[in-house]
Amino acid sequence: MKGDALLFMLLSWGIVLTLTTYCFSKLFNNKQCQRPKGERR
Amino acid sequence: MKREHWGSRIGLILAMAGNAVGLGNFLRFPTQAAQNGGGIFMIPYMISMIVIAIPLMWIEWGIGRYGGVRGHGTTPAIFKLFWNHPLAKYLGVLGLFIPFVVVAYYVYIESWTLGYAWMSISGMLPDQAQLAGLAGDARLKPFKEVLAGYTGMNGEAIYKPSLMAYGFFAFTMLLNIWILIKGISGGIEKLAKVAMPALFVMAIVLMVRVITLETPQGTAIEGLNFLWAPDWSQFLNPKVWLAAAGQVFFTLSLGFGAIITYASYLNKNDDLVLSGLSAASLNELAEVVLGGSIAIPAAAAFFGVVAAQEIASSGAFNLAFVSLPAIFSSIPLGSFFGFVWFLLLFFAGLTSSVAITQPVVSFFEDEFKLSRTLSVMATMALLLPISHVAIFLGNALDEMDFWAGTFFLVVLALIEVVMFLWIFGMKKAWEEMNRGGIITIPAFFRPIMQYVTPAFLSIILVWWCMDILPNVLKNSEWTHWIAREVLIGIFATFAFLAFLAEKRRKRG
Repeated sequence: MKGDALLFMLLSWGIVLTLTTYCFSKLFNNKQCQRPKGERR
Repeated sequence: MKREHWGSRIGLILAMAGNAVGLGNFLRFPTQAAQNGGGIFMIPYMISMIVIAIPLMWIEWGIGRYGGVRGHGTTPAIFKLFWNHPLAKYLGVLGLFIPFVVVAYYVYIESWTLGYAWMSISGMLPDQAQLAGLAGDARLKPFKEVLAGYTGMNGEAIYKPSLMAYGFFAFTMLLNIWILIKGISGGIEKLAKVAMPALFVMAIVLMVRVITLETPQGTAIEGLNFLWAPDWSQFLNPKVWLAAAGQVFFTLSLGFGAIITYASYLNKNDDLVLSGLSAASLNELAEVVLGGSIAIPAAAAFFGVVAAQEIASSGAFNLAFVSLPAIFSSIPLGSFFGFVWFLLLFFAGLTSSVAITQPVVSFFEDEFKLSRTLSVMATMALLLPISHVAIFLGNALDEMDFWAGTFFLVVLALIEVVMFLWIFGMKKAWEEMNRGGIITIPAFFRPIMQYVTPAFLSIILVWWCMDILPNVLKNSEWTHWIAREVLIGIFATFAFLAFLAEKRRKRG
């Protein structure tokens, strides 16, 4: 791939993947999320 | 009657992500990026994400949870909680009008993807033998004819869809009804838990296949170069910035009322800050990483970069239902990959269509105390005739898409910001959004939400009023006017229902 195209693609992917990893690591490490919440009525 | 709640946090996040991930992630995003400066498009895209999309997403989650705790899942009643004025409920009617009109045509388009999945796997689409010796436009022509025959969209005033198209529409409608009757945790949440992982697996399978494509005309890598190479001359072009702002708006399904309704099924102290951000991040993963790596790179590999540019500018439908099937018909196991492509779009569509039908269902449940089944049936009784207008009346789909699917989305979003942050009050709104949060919203979002987001929304609205609205109003065939009268009728019907609901509430 061309350098500038690769740079923009990797930067965009990097931002999105970092955000997703951050969110889900926070979620799965949170005590509230280790058991189902709410109830079915 | 007690309101339902989500069964699990992950179910809620997947359902919210399912609402956001739609056909646009795989079709609209790559065509918008390709037409608006390539890699450069991502700069306004990311900035718009921070100043419009993420703040508005938290605002909608906050409005929804606030209303849900007080027994309301839709904007006519919730706006009344913020602003005790007779006008509030009529402004809130937009939160029913928009999703209702959009779902009326969206389910039909969603059913095309299922129809095409069936046609791909059963060998009903033109195959390699029939296409031998054809190249470029000549290769696309048989697929254009199949699409015209399937939808019956022939440029005349009344469309004549094929029996198969109508059959798949009826089946898709029944599937939506069945899921909605099953309820929030028993239907929508279960669907999201199956459909979303399946959607990601299918998208990854297709992405890997596409990236390894190589033909005498080009390679997928050339397509990635075309899509991501920054065109710096477009950096300060206001059209590029508005296209990016529009895209982030559509991609997170903001201004539809669906996020508000889904969030109304949260408990009072459930986290919404991290849950909302997680759902948005899944949507971005599907859009930026997967959506950008399938359609346009495949088109560049098969037709060359120059033709891929033309295909991108010819619109999302052409890309999905003409170019991609033509490409898959030319590769080994093409019918399987074609099937996967359309099933992926169908799953993306289904998780969104149940989400945008839910506001009207919730309205009947919350405000008229109808049972779940009766609420779904009442919604469908109103919806089916309007869907038929989109199926059979020429230009109706475009007219509905402009007013409900584009213009009023921004209007409703602006009203939401004013109602929640300005009338209800920034201090109370900020506390409401942060209550129960696993993380808190960073403080710099406070002025962004209060001033920058509404300013951006106003700019988009003014620009559209000057740039797009005059062209839309120029369309004055009788079919356009019938469609507009139908839209006014829908708004009036919901306004009347909101009036009745308030009278009923006052009677206690």
